[in-house]
Amino acid sequence: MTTNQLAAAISIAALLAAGSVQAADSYAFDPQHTWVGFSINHAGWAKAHGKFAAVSGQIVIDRDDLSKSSVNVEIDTASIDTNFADRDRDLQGPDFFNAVEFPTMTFVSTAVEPTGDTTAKVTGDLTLIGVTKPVTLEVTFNGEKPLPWDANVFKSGFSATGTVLPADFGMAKVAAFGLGPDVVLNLEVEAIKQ
Amino acid sequence: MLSGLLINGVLLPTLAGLATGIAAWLRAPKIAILLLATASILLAYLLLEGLPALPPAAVKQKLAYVFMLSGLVGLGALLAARRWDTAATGLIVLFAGFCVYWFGGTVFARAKDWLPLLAPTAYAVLVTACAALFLRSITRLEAEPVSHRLIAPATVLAFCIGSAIVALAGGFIGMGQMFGALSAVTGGILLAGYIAVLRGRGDLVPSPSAVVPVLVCAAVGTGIVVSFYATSLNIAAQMLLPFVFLAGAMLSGRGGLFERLPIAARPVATGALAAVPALLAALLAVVVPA
Repeated sequence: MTTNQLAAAISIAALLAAGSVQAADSYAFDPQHTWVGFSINHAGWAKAHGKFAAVSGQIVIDRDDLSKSSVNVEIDTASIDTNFADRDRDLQGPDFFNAVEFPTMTFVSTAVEPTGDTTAKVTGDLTLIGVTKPVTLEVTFNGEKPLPWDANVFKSGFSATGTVLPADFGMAKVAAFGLGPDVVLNLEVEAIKQ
Repeated sequence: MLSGLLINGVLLPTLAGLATGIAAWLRAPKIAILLLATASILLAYLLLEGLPALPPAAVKQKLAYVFMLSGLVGLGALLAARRWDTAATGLIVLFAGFCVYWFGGTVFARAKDWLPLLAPTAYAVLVTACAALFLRSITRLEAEPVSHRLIAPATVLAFCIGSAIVALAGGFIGMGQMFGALSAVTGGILLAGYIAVLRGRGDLVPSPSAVVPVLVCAAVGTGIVVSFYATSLNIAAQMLLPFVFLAGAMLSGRGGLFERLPIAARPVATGALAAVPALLAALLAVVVPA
């Protein structure tokens, strides 16, 4: 191969690589603008609410084929906050989130099914206290626009809801305390384009 | 909710313990009684926590396998025959060391400094030493009045009840319930022995050497879980609990002190004395916040 042919081959390869990167955009969760909340029936009196304060994640969106998109979320189980420190401390114990042995819970998507122009069902593996089960989230894409103070940085917003049964993950004491049986998840995520 | 807990955590384990004690009435071999005692403890676990995962991932799942190991400790001691006390003492030290390693390994690995490890480690050492002394003292019961043999299961019962209260007050509901179930199993065994004493059939009292090591190991293992993982444990209360075993050890060779009491009152009196540290621990845990 001559030098010119080699240079042309390298240029074509680079263009192809650049093209494939542009087909999928990566986003990182903005931890200060991400809210993971939950609610659970409390013995029929009311719904107890809480949130996880420490959340991180990545989203990859393939705009040519949304079904090839993916999302990974990692939540610090010790960051649980139900507005009562004693309860939060107990929830971190082995009867519930077992934060010492399992400091994080994760969600890794396995399938993305577009259901509308801005909506999709995202199914993934939720791993909680060492148990992995499939969970499906109903996700809405709220839009993407640049930051007001930096036009070069783009941020996308997503809302997601889902339902989880703690008993499926071995949290037997949840029902014993008159809670549940299911937990409704609400996620509001702002993610910065990488 | 409460009725389910009473059935699974109290009634059924009590019946299982009673069945173990009744096996002694039927003059079942010691090994059979030991197996029944181990099965009763495992039944209590299954009723409260369900089937454990294999391999176990969480400390509560590991506890089921430690309960099986408790049965092996009891078996090892029985097979040692004349050297029962030496075997039981040595085996419980090994057992407790294994529990600290298997239960506490994650806590040790993730600790940012040594201070939070001090209390659970100190508890593990103290409860092992006191339990070993207690097991060693059981051989003295052979020379004591039959009614005095009930001091052995009564001591375990007091330890489990006190530990249940301390665990519950310390925010570890699951282990509080587990200790409650262990209390129920022990109580069932004790009840069978008490009925035998009241009927004047001391020969039908379950042999302490058959049932006590497995009960003690199960209680020690559960206590080590609580000491490492309870979220708001009253450490002073937790550290008082091992002295129940020490009290039992001191009372084991002193059956003569209670001979003036009616036969029916003797096991109650000795059990109440052994329970004093447990009462203090429970009071401390409930009254004083962690």
